[in-house]
Amino acid sequence: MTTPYPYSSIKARLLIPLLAILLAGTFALAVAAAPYSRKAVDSVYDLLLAGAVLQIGERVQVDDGEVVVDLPGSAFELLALAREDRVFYRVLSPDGRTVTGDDVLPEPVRHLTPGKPLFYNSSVLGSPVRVAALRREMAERSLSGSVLVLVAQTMQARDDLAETLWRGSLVAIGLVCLLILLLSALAVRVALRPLASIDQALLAKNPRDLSPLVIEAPAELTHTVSAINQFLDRLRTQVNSTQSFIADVSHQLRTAITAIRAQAELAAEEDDPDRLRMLAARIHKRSVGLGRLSSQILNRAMVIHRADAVPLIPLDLRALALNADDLDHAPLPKDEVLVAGDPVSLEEALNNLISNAQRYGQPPLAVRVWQDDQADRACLAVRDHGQGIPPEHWEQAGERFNRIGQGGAESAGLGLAIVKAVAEAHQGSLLIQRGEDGGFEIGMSIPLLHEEPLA
Amino acid sequence: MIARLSLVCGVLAALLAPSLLRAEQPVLPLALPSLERSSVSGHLRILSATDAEMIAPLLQGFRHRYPDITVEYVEYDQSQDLNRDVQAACRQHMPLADLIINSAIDLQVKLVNGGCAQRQSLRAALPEWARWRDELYGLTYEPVVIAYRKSAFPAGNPPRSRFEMLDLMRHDPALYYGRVGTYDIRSSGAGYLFMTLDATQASTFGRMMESLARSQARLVCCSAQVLDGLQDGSLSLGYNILGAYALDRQRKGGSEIGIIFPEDYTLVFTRTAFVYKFASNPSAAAAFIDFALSDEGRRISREETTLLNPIDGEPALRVLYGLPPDAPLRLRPIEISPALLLGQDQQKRRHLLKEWLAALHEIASEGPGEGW
Repeated sequence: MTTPYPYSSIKARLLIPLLAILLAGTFALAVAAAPYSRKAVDSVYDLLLAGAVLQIGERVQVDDGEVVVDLPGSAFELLALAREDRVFYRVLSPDGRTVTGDDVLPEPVRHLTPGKPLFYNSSVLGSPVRVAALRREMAERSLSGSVLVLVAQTMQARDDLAETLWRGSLVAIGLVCLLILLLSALAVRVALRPLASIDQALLAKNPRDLSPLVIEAPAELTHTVSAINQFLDRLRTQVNSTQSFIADVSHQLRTAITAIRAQAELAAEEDDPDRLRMLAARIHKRSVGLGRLSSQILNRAMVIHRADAVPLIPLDLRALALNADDLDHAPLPKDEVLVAGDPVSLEEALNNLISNAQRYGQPPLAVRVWQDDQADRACLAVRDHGQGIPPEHWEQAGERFNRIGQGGAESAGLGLAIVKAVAEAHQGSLLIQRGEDGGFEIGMSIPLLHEEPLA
Repeated sequence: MIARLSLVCGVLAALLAPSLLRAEQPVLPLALPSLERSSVSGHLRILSATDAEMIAPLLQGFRHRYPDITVEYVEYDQSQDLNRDVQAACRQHMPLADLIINSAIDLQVKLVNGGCAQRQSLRAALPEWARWRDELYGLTYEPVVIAYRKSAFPAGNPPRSRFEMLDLMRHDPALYYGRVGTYDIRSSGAGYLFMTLDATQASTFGRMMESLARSQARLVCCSAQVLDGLQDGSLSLGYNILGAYALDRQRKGGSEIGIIFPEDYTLVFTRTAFVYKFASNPSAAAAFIDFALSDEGRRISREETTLLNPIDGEPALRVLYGLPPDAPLRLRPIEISPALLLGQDQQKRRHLLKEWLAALHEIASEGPGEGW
């Protein structure tokens, strides 16, 4: 992990939670293993105790009304298998008297089933012991009742074995932990290998080649690959449209410049002052058109650049409408009409709309702003009372250099294209409609901005 | 990164281990401070059922090694008396002595089992059978033998095993009438222990009882009295006699006395020592055990006494008793283990004594201490 931020690496993102899980698991296992091994050891050593207590119990007899026990050596040999442990035993007669053994060994508190050894932990002389207790029912003529046999052993051997077992299991757990870690590192490495193939496919591409990537990607990466391909697709469209735009622009500019040059050449050979004036007027008109064309080209470039580069801010369309000077505006809505927008682009679009209306429309002109709640849109439009664009051309409106209807030589055909580009940069669209009073309205509809303004 | 993670794993396990284990382990008494010469001093009181003369070289060596410790050696004639005193003091949590040494292993095991000893951490390389719980340590290696008067067997044919001894007594009862000595197990702790072991280990036990009864064996408290009888000619055979005492007597003018390691089996017992629970100077007591089993202590027990020690074992025994390396020996060391508690069971003891008395009812006990 060479990066300073571990989370910037997918390997680290995978391995760190994995390690956390592993550690938690190891810890849980280690903790669980201790009582488990203790339990296993106890059950084994309990068998020794059970054997001893049963053997002693078998030797309990009634002799002349007295309980007598002939302790078997084998019982002690059995107990001595846990060599380092102290041994205590006690036999109690039905009247609770100790027949033989150690008084210090406490009696069980629980009820005993005859013939079935019961195990419990207790303590003798301050040492913890494990006790096996056995009840034997005596039914002799001279004595009846139950004899209690207790055998106890300290737990040194149990402790030692439990510790040995536990330590052994810790080693095993540790080794498994290590193995899992190594395998996970390997698995992560293998799993991340397809990412490198995408890198390589991209790097291997010719810079001019914007065709989609064709690689075998695992299911999880098909989205990434298709996103890259979609992006390449858009880039290709963009590059194509830029190329055709440049071709269009150079054609337009060349046409305009050729016309001006032709007029100027005519003027150079003209002697008639009236005709000269006329030619000068034409050259001037052409120049103005050329000027506007170039400024629109620049404006469009600016709008498209801003669409990519400038963050949108919340703004009120009413304020935009109020800023458009020397125009009437239709009554504005009372509430603010909020959109996320770029004020410069929107103003440029509005200016283009107004100038189109001034040029081709019939006064009175008005700027309208309204909110279309149904479509969740904010609308900004300029209304005039001229013919407007014939409905059959609404479809093509906004295409570059597509002069519809009245456009004369001085029209560059870029005004609506700019408006359309601005609308699209705001996830909106061009709006063309006939007003209720027969006016022609053209503008943009943009999604409304709700709730929190954009940061 | 993987190496780092596994390290974390390991550290976690290591941290976890002691905390979990601590709950399971019984609380051990603190290990003794190092037994360096300078660090142990004060007064050491030893209660022992061992002849002071027998153990004197060892005590001398100890004094030499630890000059700052003053040793008080209290000798008991009877292991049972010693046991009774310790048990009584232990019950009342009273200080009595620092070190308890006794030949009756079963009594010692019972005391340790009852919590009258302190756990030690000594370096001694004792064999398994000669130590218990790091509390009870075997200090000597003593065979239990048949002793005989050489002039009673002019043909040089003393019995080599229990079987031969039985055959002899059955074949010629008159010759052995009143001339066999053995323990009165009512008063002798070691005698009782040997008898319980004979009872469980050998098929000859019943017949031995019978023969001893028929030949009116003399019952005595101690090996010494049997050896006296062999020396003065009043006895011909002694059964279950402490080899160390017999050899010692042989060396001190008792050339009449012969020693036989029974070929069927020869019991070997070890005189055991433990540090008393309520000792006032436990480190001095531990130092004595440590010394007795040290190279120097073992050399003394091998060369200056007849007691030997469990670490040197059989090879040293052969050297000491002058046995050729190929002489057949069936040594059965008595293992210090809780199994010895069986013989000390109240009912078991009463039962065995009753049986023994019934078998020997004709034999009149001379009673302990009255001598011959």
